[in-house]
Amino acid sequence: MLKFAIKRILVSVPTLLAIITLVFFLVHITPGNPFDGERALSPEALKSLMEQYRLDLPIWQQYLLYLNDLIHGNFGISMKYLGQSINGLLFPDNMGGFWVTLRISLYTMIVAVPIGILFGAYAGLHKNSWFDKIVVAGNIFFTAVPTMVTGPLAVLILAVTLRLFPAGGWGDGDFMHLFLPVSVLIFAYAPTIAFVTRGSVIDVLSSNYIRTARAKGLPTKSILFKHAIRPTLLPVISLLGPMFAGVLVGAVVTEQIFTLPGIGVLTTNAATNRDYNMIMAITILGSTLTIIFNIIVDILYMVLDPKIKQ
Amino acid sequence: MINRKSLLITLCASISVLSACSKSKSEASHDKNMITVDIGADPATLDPQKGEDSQSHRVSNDLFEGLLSPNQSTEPAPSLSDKWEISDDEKTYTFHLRDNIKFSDGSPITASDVVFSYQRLVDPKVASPYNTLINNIVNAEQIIKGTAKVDTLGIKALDNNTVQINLKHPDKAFLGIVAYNNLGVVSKANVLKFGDKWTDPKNMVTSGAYKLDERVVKGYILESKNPYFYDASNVAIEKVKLLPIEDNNSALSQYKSGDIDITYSTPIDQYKAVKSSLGNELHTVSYEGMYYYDLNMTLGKYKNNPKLRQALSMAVNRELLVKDILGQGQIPLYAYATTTIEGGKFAGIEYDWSKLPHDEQLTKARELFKEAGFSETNPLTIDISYNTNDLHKKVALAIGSMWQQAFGEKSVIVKASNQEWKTFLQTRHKASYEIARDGWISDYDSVDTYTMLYQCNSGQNNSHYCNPQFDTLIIAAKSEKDNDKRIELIRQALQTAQNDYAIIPLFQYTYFRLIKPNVTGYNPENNHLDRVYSKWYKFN
Repeated sequence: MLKFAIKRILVSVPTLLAIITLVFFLVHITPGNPFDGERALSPEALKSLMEQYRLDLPIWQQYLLYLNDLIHGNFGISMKYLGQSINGLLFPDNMGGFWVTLRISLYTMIVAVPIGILFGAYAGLHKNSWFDKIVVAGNIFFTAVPTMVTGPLAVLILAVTLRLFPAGGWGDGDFMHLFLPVSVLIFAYAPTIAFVTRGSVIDVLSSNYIRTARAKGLPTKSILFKHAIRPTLLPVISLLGPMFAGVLVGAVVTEQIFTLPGIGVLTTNAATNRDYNMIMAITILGSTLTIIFNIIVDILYMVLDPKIKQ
Repeated sequence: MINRKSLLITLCASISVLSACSKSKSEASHDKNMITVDIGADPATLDPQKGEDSQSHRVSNDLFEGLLSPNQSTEPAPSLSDKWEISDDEKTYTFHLRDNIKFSDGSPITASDVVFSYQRLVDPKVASPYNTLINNIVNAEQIIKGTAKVDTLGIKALDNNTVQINLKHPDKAFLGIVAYNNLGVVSKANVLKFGDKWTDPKNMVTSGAYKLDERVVKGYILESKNPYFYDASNVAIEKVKLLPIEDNNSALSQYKSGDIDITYSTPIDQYKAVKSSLGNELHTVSYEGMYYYDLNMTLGKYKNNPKLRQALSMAVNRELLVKDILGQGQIPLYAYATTTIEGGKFAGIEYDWSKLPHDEQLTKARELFKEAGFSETNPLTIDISYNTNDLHKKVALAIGSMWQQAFGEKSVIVKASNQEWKTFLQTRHKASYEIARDGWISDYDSVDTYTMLYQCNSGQNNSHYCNPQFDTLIIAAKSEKDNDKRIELIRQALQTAQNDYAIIPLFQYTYFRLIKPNVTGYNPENNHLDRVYSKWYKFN
């Protein structure tokens, strides 16, 4: 298994390099530069900034220097937050940036995964029951109604009208401040997990080997926990990997609605501000996370599915 | 069934308990020690000399005071300096610092800190976007261009408490410039000690009413009262929490739920609803800034056709635009400067035709359009460029349809195209447009911030208009010592530019602020430049 993991990691290096190269050149050929503003900079000030950020060099040289910085773990200096290092903005000493997003994502997944799996499994086991219908309808509803709608609605009812929770902000990262954004994300992700689990349970339970086990007279408990659980979890796990990576880099809307200082807001602003170094750092972070989660999913697959192991 | 009932009862009980807890907490956050203020976005920098965006200025107002600072009507008022003299030729300003003033670390604020701060603004290594603010100080332009050393700037410390500034020519607006926050005084020792890291909360030493405690980018900025501030006894609130809420809807929710005391703005599409529900708390203030359209004067189509330019300007129904289409208190604009700048000294230069009923304006516009050579058989095609934004889209569509209604749908073919902000900036700057949305917010209370928009080769002149007669009048005004004559020269210059119709002035901006009734001391009504200092806030 270790050999497999190392092989996967090695294969992912060129993938990451290709992404870095592509995004680097795309970002640099996009019209506009980080220092364009409503107030035109004096040519001398612009020249000085271009020199400070090495933007006066030929692009291939900039690229090689950037790769050199990356090897040394340095994402460079932000072009929007003048003088501040990207490392410091993404991974600050105090709570902010990636740490905020990581906390929200972890809380979301810790609640959404078990709830999703339990609800999905129960619905699958009791196909066509009222509970099953609720799970299916819930998935359709929350897929159709995005966080862009559920977020402000939750704020309006629970924060503005009932005043149960703060309407936004991070506070001290306390329960009251986290409750609404995490709940909105749970409602966005748990129904999908439940739906996939439900489908998988129905699929596995109607397969031939389960039917054979039932025919042989094995007790239901043994059928479910010994024979059905592993294959049932396979599609769920393949969903969870990219989903977790997605929450980590994609909770942009939720962070904006609840004004959380996570990396989602940094991402959108980086693009509009042409903060090249920030765009690169977030792309690399997102790609690395996706690659890591995919490797974890593959390893879990090996553990759960003997066919792949062979 | 019983189970479900008991579940419901438990749920209701939990909600009531939670509700009680959260209410007591929100009341607690409104103690008299801390105010929570939305500033609309995250400041790009906390370095006063590097600040360009409104948010950087807003925060540096709290942290750094200049020799002077504006009062609530944006007039320059004493700050670190409480006395100053102006020489007879109005080219030498001598400022005296208050006695025993100190930075937030207790070290003395001296004349050499002031000199250092002014030198930083023009130092090419600092690359301040506002370096041209003090172009009028001797040698500033040469330093910015790199042809003179920073220490040759026309400012010197006569002693520990006296600063002398030498100007190239007299400037009535100079005290306003001195009060501008890019000239906030920083501690020389602090900046030299920490270099680029001096703005970190753990390193920063401030000269303003507050010092920086914490900063979480995109999260909040926490300030606490600077005990060494010269006027600390009149600073009422101990702690200020500034929130960079970019989404106006979120800000409104947080205001309504009692989490914030002052908003930066309100959602444009909810302005009327907010006005009717929170009327007393909503302050609508005319902002010292213009919204206008540039006609590209590098294109023969506009450059060689003054009648067309005038026809386009006259055909816009500005009253309809501000009342029915925008409806947020904007003021229709018929001149190249606002009526509020310099206390209204440039009012009354509006186009004569602006007093005519709109029907008559249209009749004249149609005649000019015809004389310009356009008709159904030779239609005019117009491409309006704007940066992606709901307000700009509304305005572009409205004006496009006004032109079509005025000149006939077959005589004018209008296309409105949006671009992402940075791309749009380049398009406009490089004059790769036909008609472009433009806007300018004045930095300080001087008409100079508007006249530079029309000067030949000015970096802000996006229409690329150039009339040497206008420039001559402006240069004459700059060296004119008699203020009445200066005003007259500038009025003449502005009217000259207006009659060339290179831009179409549309309206004067407004800004909106929600302020909780228990916050006193801050009155935005006359604060047309929106220069806000937390030192003004009080709770009643």
